[in-house]
Parts: sequence; C-alpha cells; structure tokens
Amino acid sequence: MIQPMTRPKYDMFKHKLQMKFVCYTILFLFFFQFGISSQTDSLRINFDSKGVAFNDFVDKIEKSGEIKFFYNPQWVDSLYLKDNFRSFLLSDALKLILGPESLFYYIDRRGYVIITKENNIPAILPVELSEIQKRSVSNAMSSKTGTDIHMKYSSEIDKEEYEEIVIGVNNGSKSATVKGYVKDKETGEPIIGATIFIEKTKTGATSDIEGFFIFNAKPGTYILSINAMGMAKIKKKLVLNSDGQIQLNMVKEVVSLNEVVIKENRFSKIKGMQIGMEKLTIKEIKELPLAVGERDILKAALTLPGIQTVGEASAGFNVRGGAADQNLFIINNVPIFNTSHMLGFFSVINSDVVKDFKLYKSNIPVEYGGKISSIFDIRTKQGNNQDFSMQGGISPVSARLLIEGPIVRDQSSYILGIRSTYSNWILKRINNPDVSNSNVYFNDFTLNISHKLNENNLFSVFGYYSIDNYRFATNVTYNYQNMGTSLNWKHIFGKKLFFNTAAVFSNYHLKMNDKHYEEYAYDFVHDVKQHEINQVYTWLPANNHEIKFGFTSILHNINPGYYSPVDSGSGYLNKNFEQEKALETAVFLGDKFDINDKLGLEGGIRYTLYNYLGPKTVYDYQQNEPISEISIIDTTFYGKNKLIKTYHGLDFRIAFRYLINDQNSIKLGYSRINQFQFILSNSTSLAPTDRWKLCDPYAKPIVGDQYNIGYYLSFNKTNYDASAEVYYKKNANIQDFKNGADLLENQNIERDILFGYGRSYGIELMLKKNNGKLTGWINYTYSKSELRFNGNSASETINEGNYYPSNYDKPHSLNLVSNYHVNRRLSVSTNLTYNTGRPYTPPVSIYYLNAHSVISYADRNSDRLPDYFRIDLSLNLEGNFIRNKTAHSFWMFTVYNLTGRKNVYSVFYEPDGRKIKAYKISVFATPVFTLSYNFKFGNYYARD
Amino acid sequence: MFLPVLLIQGCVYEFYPKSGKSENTMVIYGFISNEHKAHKIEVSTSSSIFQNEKIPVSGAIIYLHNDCGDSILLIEKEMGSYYTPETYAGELGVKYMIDVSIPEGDHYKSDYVELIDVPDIKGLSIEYIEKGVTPTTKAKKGFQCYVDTDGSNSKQKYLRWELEETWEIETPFPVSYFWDGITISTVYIPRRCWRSGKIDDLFIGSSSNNQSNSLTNFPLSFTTDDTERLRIRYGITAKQYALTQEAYNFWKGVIDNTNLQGSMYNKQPYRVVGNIKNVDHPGEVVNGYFEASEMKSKSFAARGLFGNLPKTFDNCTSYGPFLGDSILANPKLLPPNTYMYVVVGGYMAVPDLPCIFCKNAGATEIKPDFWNN
Repeated sequence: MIQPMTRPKYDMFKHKLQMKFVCYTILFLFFFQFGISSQTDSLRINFDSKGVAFNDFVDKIEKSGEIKFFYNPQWVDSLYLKDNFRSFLLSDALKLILGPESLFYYIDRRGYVIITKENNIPAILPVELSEIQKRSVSNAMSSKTGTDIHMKYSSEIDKEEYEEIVIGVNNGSKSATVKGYVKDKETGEPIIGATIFIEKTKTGATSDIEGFFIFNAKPGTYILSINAMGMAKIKKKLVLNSDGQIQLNMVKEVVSLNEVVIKENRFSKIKGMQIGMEKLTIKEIKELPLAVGERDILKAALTLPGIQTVGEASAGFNVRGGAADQNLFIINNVPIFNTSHMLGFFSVINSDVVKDFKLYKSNIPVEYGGKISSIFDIRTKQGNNQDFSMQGGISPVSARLLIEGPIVRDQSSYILGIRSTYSNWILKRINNPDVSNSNVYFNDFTLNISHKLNENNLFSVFGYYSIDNYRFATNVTYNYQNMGTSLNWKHIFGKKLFFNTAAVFSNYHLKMNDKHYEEYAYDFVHDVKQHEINQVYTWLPANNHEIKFGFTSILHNINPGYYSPVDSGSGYLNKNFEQEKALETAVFLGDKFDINDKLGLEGGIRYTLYNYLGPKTVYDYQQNEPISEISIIDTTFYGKNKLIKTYHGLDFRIAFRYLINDQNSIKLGYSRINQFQFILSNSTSLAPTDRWKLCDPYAKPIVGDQYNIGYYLSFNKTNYDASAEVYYKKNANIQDFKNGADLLENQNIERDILFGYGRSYGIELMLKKNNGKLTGWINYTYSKSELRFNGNSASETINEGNYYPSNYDKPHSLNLVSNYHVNRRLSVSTNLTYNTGRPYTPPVSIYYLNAHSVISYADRNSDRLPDYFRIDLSLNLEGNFIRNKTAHSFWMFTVYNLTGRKNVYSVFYEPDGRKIKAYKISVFATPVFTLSYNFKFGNYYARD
Repeated sequence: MFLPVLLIQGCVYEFYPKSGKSENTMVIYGFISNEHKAHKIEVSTSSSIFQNEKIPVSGAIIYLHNDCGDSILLIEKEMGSYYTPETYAGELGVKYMIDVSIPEGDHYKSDYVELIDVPDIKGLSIEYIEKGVTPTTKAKKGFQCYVDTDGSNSKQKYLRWELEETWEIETPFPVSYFWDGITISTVYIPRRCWRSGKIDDLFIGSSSNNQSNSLTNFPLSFTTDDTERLRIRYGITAKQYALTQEAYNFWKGVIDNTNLQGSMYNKQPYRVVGNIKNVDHPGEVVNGYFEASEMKSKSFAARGLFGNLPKTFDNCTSYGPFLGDSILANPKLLPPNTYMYVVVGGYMAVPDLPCIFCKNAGATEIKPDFWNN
C-alpha cells in the first residue's frame, strides 16, 4: 500500500493523477524520513524559465537528479511561469510561483518537493513551516493543531497515531458531555449530518443544521470517527476526562477516478433509529436528468421509493399513498403552502441554495407535527463565511444566480439565491389543454444571514419569496406567492442542554383574475397566514439518552376567499367570506434511548390543543339529516377570538432498532399524527385554485396511524446499501366532496364535505451503490392506496361505500438511477422510471336528453391508464478541476423521455357529431433535448 | 454562449379504449312550459359509448300530474316520445310531476317541480370574433351570439336557453324561362330563402354572482365562419327558461362531464343525479330530469360576411349548355323540363333541379318576421 509513495512524480503521475497519492507521500515522509539531512536549501535555478509550463519547469529541475517533485499535475496544468527565475533559490522561486495559486510546498531534507493544496503538513514533520503561509483556520478547540490529511491516512499506517484531543481534566466524573461544531474548513459552512461515531461504544451523534453536535460518554480514551457526505473521513483520538468542547474541521473529499461521488450516511441508515427516512443531496441530484434541464431536488425525490405524483409534471407529492395536502414542506422552518412553479413542472425550491433535504415518510420526529404523511425538511446553506463566491446557471426555462460570502469572517455570512424564468415560449409548445395558450412567469428568492455570536449562541434570519403568474386558458390569470421568514436562535446552556428556537411567519397568497366573461370579470383572493413560535430543547442527561422536548404554537389565519369585480364596469358581486382563525399549540417530549449496544428505542408523545376561533357564523343542522341549507336549525355568531371548537390531538411515535451487527439492523415503528389543516380539492391532481381550510366544528382533524418494519444492510465494505421497508397506514377523517360540489365559491363547505377513511400499505425495496465509477440506486415499490366514503345518503357515498383506489394508487413502481463517471470531467447519468398507470374514471354509457348526448361515468377510478415508462439520459461535462481558477463551469446535456414513449397523462371523451371520440394526452410525447450551463465564480472546488 | 436546444411536444391523440364496462340505464327527460304546444317526455335507455344511440322505450304509460289534482295521459307519437295534447300549456306557479310506467313493470316518478317564471330577454347580439383552441380543435373565427337578460321583475337566477339558428341562402341561377316539352314560358322562381335548425349545444347561465339579477353580453352559441351560414345573413332565436338551483346543478354537471378535455384540474367526472327515481327500487340509476318553466323568446339577425364563404349551391357547376339567341324560337332542341336563364348573347340551360328551388336545400321561401333588412 505504501509502495506508490516512493515513486517519483513521472512514474506516479503517468496516469491521471490523484491527490490521494500526494497524501500517501506525505505520510511516507512522515514515518520514514525523519532525520534525513538535506542540502537542497541552497539549490538555485540554472535555466531560463519565463513562459515555461510549470510541469516542464519541474521536469528540468528533476533532471538535476537532486530533486523530486510530488504533486497533482491538474492543479498546475494551466500554470505558466510569468518570470525568469534563473539564479533564484528554488524555495524562493516556488514561493513566488505557487503563492498566487494558493498552493503550498515543502522541501524535505532528502530533496523531495511536496506541493499541497492544504497547508497542513503534519506537525510532526521536521518542516520549516515558516515557508508556508498559513491561512487562518479556527481550530482553537482542538487540543493540538491537527491535520486532516494526517488523520485521513494515518489510520492505514498506525492506529495509535490519530491526533489526540484531550478534553477536560480528570476530576473523577462518571459521565462527560462532549459538544462542538463540524465545519467545512474551506468555506466555514457548518456541516450538517456529519456523524461523530465512537467506535468502542458504537454510539455517537449527528451534527445538526448549524454543524452542532453533542453526546455523552464515560470518561476514557476513544477513537472518534467523523463522517460526512462529500467530506474526507477523519479520525481522532479522544481522551475524555470531563465535559468539554471540540471543533472538527473537515476538508472536501478529493474526487478521483475510483473515488466516491455519492456517499450515504451509513451511521444513520443502519445504526440510526429513524425508520422511513430518505435523504438526497445536491450532489446526488446534480447529474440526474430532469425535464428541461431544471435541477429540482423535490422532483428528484420522485426517484425514491414511496413517493408518487398523480401525473407527469403535475403538482403535489403523494407519500406512501397519502394525499398531497398531507405533506409538510418546510425550508429553514418556514412552511411552504404551494410548492409548484408552473402548475407543477418545477418546484419552488431553488436547488442551488439547498444544503440538506430530508424526507420523513414515517415516524416523523416528535418536534414536527400537523401533517400525517411526510415532512419535506429543507435546509439552506448558511453562506460561505470565508470568501465571496457566486454561482449560477442557465437552462431553457430559467436563470439562476447565487451569491454568498462573509459579513464578518468566521462569524457571519449571507447567501442569496435568485431564480427567474426568462421565457414562456416553451409552454406554448406544449399541447396540454391547460398549459397551451398560457403566459408564464415565475421567480423565487432565498436569503439567509447567519451569525455566530459565540460558541453558545447562533442566530440566523431567513427569508423566502416566490411568485408565479400565469394566464390560464386565455382569460384567467393566476398569481400566487409564497413568502416567509424565520428568525432562528440556537442557544447552548452549560453542558448537556441546548435549544433551537424559531419565530416563523409564512403567507400564501393566491389571486385569480377571471375575465372569461368580460362584463362580470372578477378577482378572487385567498390567503393563508401562519405565525409560529417554537422551541426545541435537546438534553443529554446520560450517556444513552437524548431527550427532546419543547413546544410549538401556531396561529392560523385563513382568508377563504374574497371576490370583487375587477373594475367599475364589471357587474360581479362583492363577496367576502368569513375569515378562519385557529390556534394550534403543541407540547412534545421524546427520547432516543440506547438500551444496550444492540437495542435502541426512540419514542415520543406530542399533545396538540387546537382551538378554532371567531369571529365566525356557525350553523347548526338537523341531526341525522344530510347537512344542507334546508337542514339549518340554528345560527350562532361567535365574536372575535371566541372559542368555537376545541380538538385535542395526542400523537405517538415509537421505534425500535436492533443492530444485528455493524452491517445489519432491523427496525420497527409506529406513529400517530393529527392534522388540522387540509386542501379543498376535488380535481384529479392539485389544481391552481385549490384553497386551504382549517378544521372547524364539522371538519374534524385527520388522524393518521402508520405501522412499519424495516431491514437495513450494507455489504461489500459498505459499497452497497440495501433496505426493505414494509408499512401499513390507516387514516381517519379523510375528506372528499359531494359530486359536483363547487369548492371555490362555497362559504359553507360542511354542506359538501364528506368524511371517510384511507388505507395504504406497501413494501419498498432499495439497493444503492455508493462507490466506484458507477453509482446509483434501484428501488421497487409495491403499494396500494385506497379510500372509502360511506355516508348516510347516496350523495354522501362514493362507489357504494366500498374502498376504491385513490388517484395516486400506482401499485408497481420501479426507479433506476445510475451515474457513470467516464473520467473526472465526463459522466453519464440515466434515470429509468416505470409505474402502473394511475386510476381514472371511465365513461360507461351515453344517454340523450333531447338532442344532447351525455356521457355517463362509471364508479370512480374503476379503470387505469396504460403503464408509465420513461428513460432519461444526461451527459455532464465539468470544466477542469484547477482548484483556484476564478471560474468553474458545468455543462449538462439532457434527453428526457429518450424513447419518446407517449405516456398517457390523461384520457377524455368528447362527442364528435354523432360519435364519441376518445383522446389521450401526453405531456412529453417525444424526446426532449436540453442543454444547460452552470458556472461558479470564486474559490469553489466542485462544491456540489 | 448559451444555446438551448429544445424540442418539446405534448400531444393529443385519438385513443381506442378497450370496450370496458357498459351499462343500460333508464333515461327520462321531460319539460313543461307555459307554451301552448305538445310537450314532450322522452323515455329511452342509455347505450354503450361505442354504440352511442338513443334507445327509445316504447309502450310506457305516462301521466303528467299537477298539485291541483289534475292528470293527463301522454300519447306516444314517435318511438319513446310521449306528448301532451297540442293545446296543452303549463301554468305559472303550479307544480308538476311525471309518473312513468314502462312495459317491463318498472315504475318511475319525478319530484314535483314548480313551473317558475323566467326573466325577460332584453336583447340578443352577434359579434364576429376568434375563439380559442381546445385540445381537439384549432382557433376559429365566427359569430358569437350574446344575450342580455333583465331580471328586475324576477327572482330566478338560473337560466337555460334553447337556440335555433336561421340563415339566408340564395339559389345560383336567375331562371326566367321554362321549357316543359311543349311550350316555353317565363317563370319566376324566388331565389332568396331561409334555412334553419336547432343548435344542439347546452346553454345555461347564472346571475347568482352578479350585482344585479341580470346578464349582460352573456355568450351563447358560436357559429364558425367556414359554412354557408354566415354568408348573407344569420339569425338566432333564443328561447329562455328558468331553472331551479338543483336543475342548474344538474345541467352544470352534464356540461362539466362532457367538457373534461383531459384536464386534471377539473372536477373529477361523476354520475349526475336527476330528480326521477324508480319508485320500487330507489337505488336504481335513473338518468334524466323533469323541469318546468315559463318561456320567453327573442330573435335577432345580423348581416353576413359574404366573401369566400361556401355557398349552398356550390356543387351546382353545370352552367351549360350555352344556347344561342335562337333557342327561344326553336326550343324543341332541348329536352323537356329545362330551365333557362339569360346570359350575354344567349341563354344557359340549367339541368339540375336541386340548384333551382330553395326547398331542395331544405329551406323555406317564407322570410322570418325578424329578418328586417
């Protein structure tokens, strides 16, 4: 293993070089060259060097026979010497040449010149470090100045040689709490989801959004293994005496031919307690071929098991057979009520700003609640607190720009992401009935400012805004906006306790301008406002407990609808529906408990008090009669903030994990969640006019129960991860609506609403390959999703009260995502999707009313569209990897629907003279070719 | 620097579904107004979507009852169509119900429905416009008909219209002589005539969201400009009826279900339930509706577009043979029953009878009284 280190540059780098070897070289020097003296300090350059390529310069020097160079030629492949260094000391020349490139060098006593990108030549080396300009890196909390390179490779040499961190003094305490931060050394950006793992006890911690972690352990000496996606793994020797802090700085993993691009966090998948969780990184979706070249982390989630959407390019996600309004989308604590740009073609999340995306399909952490199916938890980057940088991209649909930088270095930073469409011509080419003839425009903005006051107080301010505007079928213009802001504060108390608190405001504003009928043109406005304050405490009372508790309080304000004439010429009636108001307050308590090395338990309860408040007029209806205008028996007006109705929701989560060994685990889980808010929708997919509704005296909270079991394994030295999860879900108080109900111009929804049950079950199989030239995943899901509405009368019953498939019931689903790295710059990605066609309601007969032919429909969703199948392909070309060049670019050529299969989006029937004709619609009926361009300015290195 | 390469095509294709489930349901539709006429109740069954035909149910016994205790028996004049006497007229404010017994023994009854008043029609108008596309049609130009209603004397907010269109045509040849084989005589054959027909589309409207109980410029029929209809003069006769809210919802459902156009943003299709039930089996699916309303009507005609619109007699290309001046003196050269018209230097014989008489084109020579030009 050590062999390559001894080879001089021209042997070693004959093939495409890897920085790894440089590191090996350093280690070799570290262990075997101690004490060798050198006379190379006085070596002078004896040739003209102006205009010479650095590599040639090196060759000439090496010909002298005294000097050997070790470095990665790619760093310098465009470096030419601007000056003539004849008669310069070699060390002076290298300083002048490499300094501007931010490269460092070291000449050892044997005459070996080692060039590195990092300045962390191991401290033990007999090195004149004065020659190397150190960049300020905050690692004050380490007991010794550590080197990541050292750490990364020393394990392969000698397990005893990890950098040692000593925490506290030996005061005889029985337990000690270790906390600290994990940071990206280069950008200062906190590293989220890094696992700090104690090998001996098989316990550890995961860093949170601020990079913060905390764990308990008995005093002793441990080996800490720190892993994070895309970062070089580090190991440290921890001498733990009593409570203390450490700071861990990680460096980016070097991308190379045989190296990892996608790395799963195995600590969490096998050893973590969480069941039914998916995680995607920007790195994973970067090369995923997507329609019209728009990188989209939410759409990419559709390649994961258990995530469906009703139709191609349509709005809403269906997680494990749940409706689209059963998902909570939060970005830095701000809930997003409409996640679609352009009717669902894209999501409103600008993927460039996303740092972490977690999707909980079951056993949602106890600090979250209010949505029964899933949480899409999106966290943005905090911004580079070291240097200014900028990146962006252009696709046929939109242009993106992201800038970030420090406000006060090491302390505060900002990140601003902007995305905008610059053309809507694409839509004009789509023959979708609702899309063609549309006028489309969208924008979104994301701003995050972070400030680290001190080690115990971190603040961030986040703002989000998105706007969509489109004219729909010529006469109706839709305009909707999501805006939100959150103020976040993390405070660490003493030794074992910290909290995250947030004040959140979110507003969804929908405006529809309907000029369909000129004399009665009107505007419709719908608003959803949410003010929230929450506080989540994490407490580590003992080595094997992590307790979370806290509260969240949400004030909901919904303006169901306000209708007004567009101008004085319009004869439309002014109608202002009564506002809805509710206060939803929850307290929660959860514990993550390692019972022993093998068995872990995570449980929690969450109690929600939901108060529906006035002012509001509430009707009482005759009991045992269908609720309608004629069954009103009483009307009550409730004044401002008067309590109208209270619901109590008690949520549970419990999950067990049994670790069979380091590679295998089994998990069991159960959870119950109450939901107090839903979307009024009776269309097949989420429609642009759908509005939100709060639970009221008639609309009871939706209650979702889920049982699941999972088996997880990794094999082939963690190169492969596999999992199988089985779930069964039962939901009560699912709502649907009476046939033909108008949900928009309806102030008294209770007269049209139906309550029923939903059930879904399935098995999700996933295999993921993490390393090598070929990476990716394949998953197969078998699932069912059914609904049942069995009311007291025929108008309150659907399909005779039997269970019937939901609109998103697609039993068989297969996704294959692969990424093949031909070389460091070129990669080919493919995406294959198959699923059963969605159910639809077919016509069953024709009848005549006078001369009018009328199509009569069968039971709801009693037939299926043809199966869906699609292959996408993308070719990705990275610009060269010279580290410190000012710009880096990335081209992506995508073919969406490579086989041009005419997948059926929907079918419909239309009278055509005396005949009835059937039609099918395909959204993308031919292959779609896209070329997109992405760039980065600033000192970025293949960051994502 | 940047060159987007994009070819994107979404398409609507004709689709041939496997013949799935089909059902055969009873369909009863009837309508009573205050017009003195034979009011019709139709009884039929539904057919499969591929068969697509009205299957009449013959031999039913149908009574029309009112809430004053009067009943009349309807008479089947055509298969499945049952009529009141010609002199029958419903009365405003009276409630009506139909009672249908079919030969198989099933017995159906409608709810009692009141014959409700209808707002006035203030006027009709016509505008030449271009209309947008649907998934299966392209943008087309044509005459859009609008109605203005005056609801100031009525509480009814929901309306339905039945439309009849009338258009003027002209025969191509100014025939002036006729040779019957024995004598030649001068003749006058009217060349202006009028065709008309029902517009089968459904038109309903509501003023429930309006500040006043009236409708202004409410769009009704659209007639494309690719037929003879809009050539010379085009007229619309609108019969306006009032609907109860339930009846409006019924018709709205029928329209919504017929115009889904593949959108996933529309209401999901559903079975539209009317107000007729099987007395013995209330769960049976019965399609159709029984309604009663006063009727008011209005007509309007607008000048046509002329130009290159097709003519009714465009296939009358037989302009010959040309006959010289002398033909009148020696008509025996011609076959009997030949019409002739004058041209420069002689006469043209018109052999095609269909091109000479309006009635051969299904038109009438009687000018409608609203055709005031």
